[in-house]
Amino acid sequence: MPFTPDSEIQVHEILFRAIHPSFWNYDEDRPTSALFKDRRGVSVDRDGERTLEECISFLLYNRERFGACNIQAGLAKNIGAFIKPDSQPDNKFHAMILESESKINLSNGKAKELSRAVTILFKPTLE
Amino acid sequence: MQTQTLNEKYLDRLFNSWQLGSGSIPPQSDNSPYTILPIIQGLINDEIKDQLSPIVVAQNVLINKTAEMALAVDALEEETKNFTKTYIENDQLKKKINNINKILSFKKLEAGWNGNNSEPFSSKLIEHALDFINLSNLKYQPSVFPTGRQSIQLEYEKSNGSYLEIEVFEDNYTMYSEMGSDAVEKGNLTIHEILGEINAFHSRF
Repeated sequence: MPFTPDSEIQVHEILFRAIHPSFWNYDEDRPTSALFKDRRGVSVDRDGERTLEECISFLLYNRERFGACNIQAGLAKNIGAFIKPDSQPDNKFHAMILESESKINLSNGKAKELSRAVTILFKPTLE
Repeated sequence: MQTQTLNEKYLDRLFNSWQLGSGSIPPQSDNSPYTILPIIQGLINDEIKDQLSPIVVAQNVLINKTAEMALAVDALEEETKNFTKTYIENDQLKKKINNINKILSFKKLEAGWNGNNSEPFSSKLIEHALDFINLSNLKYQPSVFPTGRQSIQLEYEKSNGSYLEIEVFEDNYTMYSEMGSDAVEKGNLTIHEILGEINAFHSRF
């Protein structure tokens, strides 16, 4: 079934997030919860019926030294986050993780839980 | 110095015993075991004392050496404590310098650093975070991270999983902590309240 941008996000969908090198705790070898703190909402890409390689390649295009992680939409919803489709002209897979339908900033607790729940695909690298 | 033989000692002892013990020399015929026994016992005791004396001397030497060693151990413990204290202070100083450099490096994060529309950090926020890290009463240096919401995040984590997170904004602080199954989130805290939370976190096991 072809992917429909801005369609409602299903629990089985996989969400991908790029990890800036500053969001990695190199002492503890884990992402910091700051990875999920963004005043414009936390940007993610939906898998959109693509292969893992296609998703990563698209996500990390022009993002040197970035890492990548993913999380199933159902798991993010169970943590209490709200996931909003947000397709863009240059990225039809784009979506946002928000605190709720009416609030953008995730609480510290939810951000921490999300940082623990993600699967790390690639770790970022320092300069 | 003359050394008395056992026979000489025996004779001296016998003579003294007669004079001091009974007040008079016993009759020549009185050589019953009853009279001689204490004298022989005295002689044996003297002999044992002579043989024991080097052991007593050695024992005293050992006692003195043990006391000296106990003092040396105390001194070593004190030195170890001082060394550990200096090591911790140096370690914290090193972390402080790293944190200052890291916060200063956030100035280099330009617009779009974390994808489209992400903003650079304001000078006020950078200064606020630097002031916090530089506090003389901040005993424990955290790990430092930027966020995408105009704040700088400070993290403490213990090996038992306890976790404390401080978010420094331009004008205030928030904190989030996890200890066992308890999670606490507080907003709009003052610098004194934050320092109190950090000290309380480190004083708990």
